[in-house]
Amino acid sequence: MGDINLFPLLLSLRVSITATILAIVIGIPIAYYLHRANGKMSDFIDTLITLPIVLPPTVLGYYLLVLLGRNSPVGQFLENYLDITIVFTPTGAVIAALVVSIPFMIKSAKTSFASIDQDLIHSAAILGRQRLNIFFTIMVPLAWRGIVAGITLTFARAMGDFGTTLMIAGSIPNETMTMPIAIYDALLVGDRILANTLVFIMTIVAITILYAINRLEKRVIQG
Amino acid sequence: MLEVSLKKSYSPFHLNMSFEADKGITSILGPSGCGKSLTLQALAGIAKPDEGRIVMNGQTWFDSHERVFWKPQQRQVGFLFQNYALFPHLTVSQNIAYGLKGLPKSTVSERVNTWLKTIRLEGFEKRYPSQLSGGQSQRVALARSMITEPQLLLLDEPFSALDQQIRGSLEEDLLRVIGSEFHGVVLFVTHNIEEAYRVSDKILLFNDGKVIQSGERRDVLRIPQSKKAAEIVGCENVFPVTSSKEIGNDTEVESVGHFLQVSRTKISRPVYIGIRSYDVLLTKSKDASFNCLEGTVVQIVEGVNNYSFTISTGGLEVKVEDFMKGSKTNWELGDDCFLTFPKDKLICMEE
Repeated sequence: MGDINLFPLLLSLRVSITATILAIVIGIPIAYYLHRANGKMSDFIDTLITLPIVLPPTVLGYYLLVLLGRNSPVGQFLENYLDITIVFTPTGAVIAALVVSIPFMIKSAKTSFASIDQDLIHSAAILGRQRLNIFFTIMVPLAWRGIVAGITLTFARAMGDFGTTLMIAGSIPNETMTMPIAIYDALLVGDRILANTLVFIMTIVAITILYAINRLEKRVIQG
Repeated sequence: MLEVSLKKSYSPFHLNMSFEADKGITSILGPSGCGKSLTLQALAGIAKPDEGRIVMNGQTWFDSHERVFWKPQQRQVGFLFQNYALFPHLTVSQNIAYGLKGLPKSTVSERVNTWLKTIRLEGFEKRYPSQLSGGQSQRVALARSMITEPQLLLLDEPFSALDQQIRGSLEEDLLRVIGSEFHGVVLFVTHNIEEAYRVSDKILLFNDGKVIQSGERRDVLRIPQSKKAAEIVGCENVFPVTSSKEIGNDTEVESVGHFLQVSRTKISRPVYIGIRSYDVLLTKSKDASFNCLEGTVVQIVEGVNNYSFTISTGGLEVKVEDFMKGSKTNWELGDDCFLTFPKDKLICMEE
């Protein structure tokens, strides 16, 4: 076990943590918008956001390739002006992980925002607090459980992604090969010992992180 | 001084009303779904009316023509919600202090402590709402809404979530706190006439999105001006009037074949005639020369403090209340009896 290559593990952690943070930053405002809105537009957005849960990862990966690949307008723009390449890079892996996992963040945050008693929000407004202030002092604390559940699911999904990541980022050793892909790769070349070790490490890491997130949830809220 | 006129349609329901309220407590009384809560929400700025005007002490909070709409944050309103709406993740102290912003910490804690004393909850500052009884929650909610020194205090059925036994003492508490600490306009929404009568100086009767009567509490209670108002204030006997004519200082009305004399009121052509069940006199013999009808006892209900009788008299069913329980004649079902309607107790009503 001495010369196990830990690169896939570190890459997986880096990718999934980055994707989770992005999912929180992008997903929670979307969830806030969706829980208040009730027009056709928001229904459409809601459906679009649920799509990654339903579609096979390869289909998703294909869409992302078409949208963000080197020949697409977006891909060319990113490459020419911002010097960002997505296909076959760790950035691509982050985007793949983000797209497959963000629906979980949005869905559970939206549900828990929607379940907050409107009288509490009204009370806070009548007591003179502005909307953003109410969001942080009332809504986030009361939706905390749902938000943490969303973070957990998002992280888990991001960490476990295989298909979409493979489609976009490929499986370049020491560059874009994440843990799930490394395990598949080990199995493919018949290295059972490596596969077993990687699976074991993956399991331990997952358990540790989920436990830590659970503790985070317990740290808040009395009511 | 509060001046309100509002229009809002929530098809098929239409709110269309105007009223004024002075300093002191004004009750808004009406059945559920009459627009009471919606009116409070419009006053607080939580709901936006389609049309109308809200002016509080000379400040225009809402005016549809001038396109003025103040947000709840801008209006100085205290709102006591039916379920108190305490923030469950904040302590009693944090709840009470929530509306105080931009003040130094020492001032905030001083004012919170003063309020804790006023509502007799010293020692409860670190508790959470889930650890409070209904009455305690209500007092915290009251302190929270009054600490910001609002101009207008809105109370939305504050006692409806509480047990009957503790309502009385809470009502006293609420009146004591408001009486000593608040000098603005209070609107008290309820569907309970007893509560409205005990608590307020003036009463507004709401029905189906409209104000159907308003005035001093005694007048509203004693002289409901319409059948619906009579229903809301608990006047059980309301009979249709088929014709009426003036005789001297009185009005004679015909109702289901009976002729009754009524002291003259502003309403010269009544559509209904009513009388409270405790104003009807029930006797074994004919005691008066007019307004006296013969009937039969068809129902007797024994209450804690009274007997309620239903008397059938030639097409009318009359409810009679006897509070002198046990002191009078014993009545049996089927007994013949006489009913007397004192002419100054009969109420003329419009549609």
